[in-house]
Amino acid sequence: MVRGFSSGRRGRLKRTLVPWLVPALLLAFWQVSSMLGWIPTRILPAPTAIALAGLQLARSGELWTHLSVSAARAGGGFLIGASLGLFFGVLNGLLRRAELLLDSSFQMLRNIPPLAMIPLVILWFGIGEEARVFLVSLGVFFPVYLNTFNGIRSIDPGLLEMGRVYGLSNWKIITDIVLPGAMPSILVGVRFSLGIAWIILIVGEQIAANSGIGYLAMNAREFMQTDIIVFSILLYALLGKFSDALARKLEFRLLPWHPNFQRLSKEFRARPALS
Amino acid sequence: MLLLEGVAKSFRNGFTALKAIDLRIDAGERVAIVGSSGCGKSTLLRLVAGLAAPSTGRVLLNGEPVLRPNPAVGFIYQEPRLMPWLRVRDNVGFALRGRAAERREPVRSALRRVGLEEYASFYPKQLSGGMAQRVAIARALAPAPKLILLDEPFSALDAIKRADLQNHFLRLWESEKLSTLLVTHDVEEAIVLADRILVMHPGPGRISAELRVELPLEDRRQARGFADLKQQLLDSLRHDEAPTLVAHG
Repeated sequence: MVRGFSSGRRGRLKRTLVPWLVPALLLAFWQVSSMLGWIPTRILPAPTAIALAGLQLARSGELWTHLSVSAARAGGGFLIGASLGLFFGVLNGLLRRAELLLDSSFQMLRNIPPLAMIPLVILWFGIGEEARVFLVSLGVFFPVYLNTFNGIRSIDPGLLEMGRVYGLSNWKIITDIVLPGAMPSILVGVRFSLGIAWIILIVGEQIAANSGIGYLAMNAREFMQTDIIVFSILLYALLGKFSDALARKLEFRLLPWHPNFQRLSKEFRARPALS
Repeated sequence: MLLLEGVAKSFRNGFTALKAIDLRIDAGERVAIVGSSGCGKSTLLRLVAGLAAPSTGRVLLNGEPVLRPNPAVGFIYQEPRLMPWLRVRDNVGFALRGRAAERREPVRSALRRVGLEEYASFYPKQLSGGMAQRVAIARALAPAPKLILLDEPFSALDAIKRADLQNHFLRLWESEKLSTLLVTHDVEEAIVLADRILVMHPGPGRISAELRVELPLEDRRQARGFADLKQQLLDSLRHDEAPTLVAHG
């Protein structure tokens, strides 16, 4: 049995603070080790030095420029990849013929790591924005596709029959039963693919880019600015965490009925399940 | 009200589920079909609901052939089949057409009739099995159907909840005067809920006996004649062909 924190103010505070305990302890250990000279600053600067480097980048405006470029690439790639994943997931999930025609091709493509496509992508798109957006889209497509497909296929056939009993059109069955029923699975795909978008972008931005967080890190490498390199890496981690938190918020917003999201749902707290 | 004439149903793989079914249900009549699993009871309900077409014969509802699902026919399944993402009121309103404001009153009325008005904003996961099944009943009642089809509606519940819901059901039917067609393998349930019981046998599904229940509606299980009736029904289920039976209370 999984034991959790009690509800109420103290419980909520604990739930907010506990996940930050390990990172805070690691940071403290890192800082102390740097101050005592156990870790040479050339290899890994102290957290305070990294924070300072970040602050300088923020003050100069450089950080916001690179951050917005990276966010636009990740967002654009995510939107394209997730939309296509959703479309083909719904299509193949609903139509056996479409599944027969397309699914095995998608499964073959899925097993090619997107980063292995880099040489080909450079030949196709050059070293411009399109290449990076394409790589992100490719990486995002499959988690959304697979989870949408599986979500649709795992809908209770009894609910679909219920829709037919009450004379719902095919379109209404899709919008009122299929999509809401597959939503928990679709959102798992969205959450997973948001993480992938940033991972692919890290590599994508280190290849012949002249802006973005990856470029910031690669440029810092040329000048041996370890603090900026580490700051860029930490920035990716924070952006990934931020995206994940957004996706999680979306899950709580869209799935208040789902047992997995009842713990924090106000309504379910107010009205516990009846026996 | 409902008329089935020489209805048969065969599937593409050559399996014949139903053969030469003739059945008539008048307005306000409660009919039960009893048979073992796989005898074609549920297929028969699907034909009446317009979810499948007969291979031969005709299904007529108020003189009109049933070609597709009809709002005048409500369907209650063994499991509630509620949409987990919809609140109770939206699940009940699911069967209704029109704008939200137009649906509000029929939904409220249907929930009131099953005693769940105050649970309108709950999600199905917050309800017990019996309550969820009552929501399913409310959903079937909301469009004011003329005929209700019940496919083993209480078999997933424990004995006490089942008896409670059966009684609730009877009171409801008594006040609404609806026609019902119940399929079940529970002979007691058939005797409690129906005025007329048809026995179905498999291979292919056909009606082999008919039994009229003339026991008082209240507390039929305790009525004199209930045990005899149950035994007669069980006997006719065991034997392929049974004579037409009439039971008196």
